[in-house]
Amino acid sequence: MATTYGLEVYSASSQLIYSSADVTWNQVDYFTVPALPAPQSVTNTYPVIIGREVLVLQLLVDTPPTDRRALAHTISKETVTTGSVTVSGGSENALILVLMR
Amino acid sequence: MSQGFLAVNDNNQVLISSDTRNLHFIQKLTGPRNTTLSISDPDAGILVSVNVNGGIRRWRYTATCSVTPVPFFTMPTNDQYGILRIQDKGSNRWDIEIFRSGTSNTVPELYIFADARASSSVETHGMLVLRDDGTPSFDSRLRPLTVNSAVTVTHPDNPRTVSDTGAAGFAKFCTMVEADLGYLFQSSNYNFYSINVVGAYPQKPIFSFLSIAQSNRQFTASADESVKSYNFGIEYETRHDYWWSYYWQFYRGVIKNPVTATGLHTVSTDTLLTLPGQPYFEINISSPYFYNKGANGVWEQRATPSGDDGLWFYGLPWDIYFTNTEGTAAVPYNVMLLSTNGYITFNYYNNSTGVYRDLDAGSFEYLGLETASTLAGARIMIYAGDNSTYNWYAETTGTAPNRVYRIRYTGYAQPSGWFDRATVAPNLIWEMQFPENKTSEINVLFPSTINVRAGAVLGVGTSHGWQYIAQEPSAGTITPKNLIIKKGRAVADYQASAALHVGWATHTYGCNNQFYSTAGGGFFGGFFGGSTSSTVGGVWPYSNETLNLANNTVIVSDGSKYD
Repeated sequence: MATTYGLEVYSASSQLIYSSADVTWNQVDYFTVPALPAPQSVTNTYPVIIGREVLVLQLLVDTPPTDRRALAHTISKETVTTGSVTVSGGSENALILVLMR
Repeated sequence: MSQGFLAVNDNNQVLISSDTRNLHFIQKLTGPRNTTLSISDPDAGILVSVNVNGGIRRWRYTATCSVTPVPFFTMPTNDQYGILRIQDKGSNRWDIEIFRSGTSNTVPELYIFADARASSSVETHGMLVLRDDGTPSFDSRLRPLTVNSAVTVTHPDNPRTVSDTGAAGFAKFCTMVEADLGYLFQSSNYNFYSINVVGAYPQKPIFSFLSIAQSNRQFTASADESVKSYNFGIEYETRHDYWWSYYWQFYRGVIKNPVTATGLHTVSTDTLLTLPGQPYFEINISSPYFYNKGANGVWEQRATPSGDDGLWFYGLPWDIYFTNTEGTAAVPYNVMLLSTNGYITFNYYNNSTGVYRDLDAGSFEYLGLETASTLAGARIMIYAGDNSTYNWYAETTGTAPNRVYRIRYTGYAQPSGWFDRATVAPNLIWEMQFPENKTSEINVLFPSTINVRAGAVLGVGTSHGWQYIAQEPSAGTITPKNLIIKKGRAVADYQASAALHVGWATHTYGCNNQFYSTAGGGFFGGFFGGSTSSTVGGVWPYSNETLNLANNTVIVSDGSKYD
C-alpha cells in the first residue's frame, strides 16, 4: 500500500487479495418490488448508509412488453438523517440493488 | 456502529463492514446456456438473432447462485450491450438475459458476483468477517469484488440523430417489416461519458449495466388506390382501397466501450524499460543497435549493426503461442526478428533439424509498410517505416513462472527518407511485453504522446492462425496508451478505452397494419374502356417516444483478477 498504515489481506500463496487502497461498493440490500402505480411506494430504512455514498440500481425482471409502456421505478434516497431508500411509480416487477461505500 | 468490524480505504470509503455484504466472485460464464435449442425452448441460449435494423443479439446465460447475483459482462465487440433481465428460475438457477446490437456472433463473458453466502472455500488462510446473524459479510478467500469506477449515466432522449425520410412501397400490409430498415431505425445517438479510474485502467474491463431505459420510434406509411371501370365512355370508381402500416421499433438502453484510436489505456512511464543512457544518439545513420540486458543487469550490445533493411535474430526466453480462436491449436514461436525498419516478425527454429518453419518471416521488406500489406508472416507493426529504427532493447524481468519478456523499440514515426540520427531524436517509443504466466496476451505500451501518420497500421500478421489486427488512427497525435493484444482475437477486444457511449439498441421491432375498402362512388370522364387505378399516399410522419429515461449506473471492474 502507498501509506504506512491500512489493511492488506493476502492469500495462502502470498497474493494480495484486498487492501485499503482498493475501492468497492458493498451490498446493503437486494430486494424485489412489484409494479407500484402511484401513490404506492416501498420505503426501506438502512441506518448504515447514513453519511455514505449510496447507489441504487434497478433491473426489470420480466421481458419488456411491446404493447404498453414499461415504466421504471422512481428511486429516491436519504442518507443524512434516516438512511432510507424509496421506490415508487414503476409499472414493472423489478430487482432493487442498494450499494454503499 | 457500536460493535462489529469496519475497514475503510484511503478515501474513507467503506471497504468491509459487518453491517453490509461485500460482493464476491461466484463464477464466470463463457457463453449462453444452450445454443443448439430452438428459441421457444425454455433452456435456449439464443433468444434473438437477427441481422436487420442494426442487428439484434439476445442471449440467455445461466448462473448457479443461492442469492441474487450481480452480473458483469465483457464487451468483446465494438457494439452496444446491456443486461436485459434477471429471472429467478428456482433451485439456485438464475437466467440472465443480455442483449447487444450488431451482427457478430461473438458472445460476451459474464462474471457473476454475489454476497459471500453464495459460495464457500476450504482454504485455511484468509480473513472472514461475519454479520451479527453469523452469516458472512466478507471472505477474502472468495475473491471479493474491487471496483475501478462507477458512472451514473443517462441516455439521449432519441435513439437517432438524423431526420429520416421514407420511401414508397411500405404501406401495404407491412410488407417491409422484415426488410433491413436500419437506415430508418438503427440507433445513432449516444451520450458520452469518461470512465475515471484510480490508478491503471483495468486490464480486462468488465461492466455491470442493468438496462432499464426504453424508447420507441415508429412511422406510418399510408396509401390509397382507386379502382375504376369504364362503361360507354364513362369512368366509374368501383372501389377505393386504403392501407396503413405502422412500423415500430423498441429500444433499450445500452452501453458501449468504443474502440477508438485515442481511447486506449493510459500507462505510466515507469512501467517501461529503463533505457541505458543515450548511446543511440551517436550512432551513425543506418546503424541501429540491439541491446540486451544481461544477467548481471548491464545492457549489452548484442549484435553488429545490421544496417539498411537489416534484422537481428533473437531467441525468445520461452515459447509464445498464438491461436486463431482461443482453445484451438496453438502455434509456437521461439524466435523474434527485429527489423531496422521498425517492425518485428516471428518464426520457429527447430533445434533438431536446424530449419526455420516459416519461410515468410523476415524483416527485409521496406516498401509499403504503413499499409501492413507487404508482409505475410506473423508480425507486430506498431509503426513501420523504412529505416525507422533507432534501437531495440530486450530484457526479461521477474522470477519464473511470473517473468515478463520485454522488447522496447525506439524509432522515428515519420521518416522521409533516411534521417540523420545525429540530429533527430526518436519520437516513437513503444514496448511489448509477454507475460510468462499469461500466454494469451501481449501488452503493448506507449510511454508518452506519440506521433502517427494517417494510414499507419497497428497490426498482427495473418499467417499461422494469427488473426489480422489493424488500427488506422488519424494523422496527428495520440495520447499515451496501453494496448493489450490478445492473441488470436480481434484487438478490439482489448482496445477498451476509458470512454463510454450510452445509447440505444433495438430490442424488438414489428409492424401493425390496417386496410379497408369502400364501394366506388362518383364517375370520371373518359373515352377509353377498361379499368385503371391510381395510388396516392406515402405520408411518413415519424415519431419518437421515450418511454423511460431512468438513470442507472455502470460499474466497472477488472475481469483479469477473476480469470
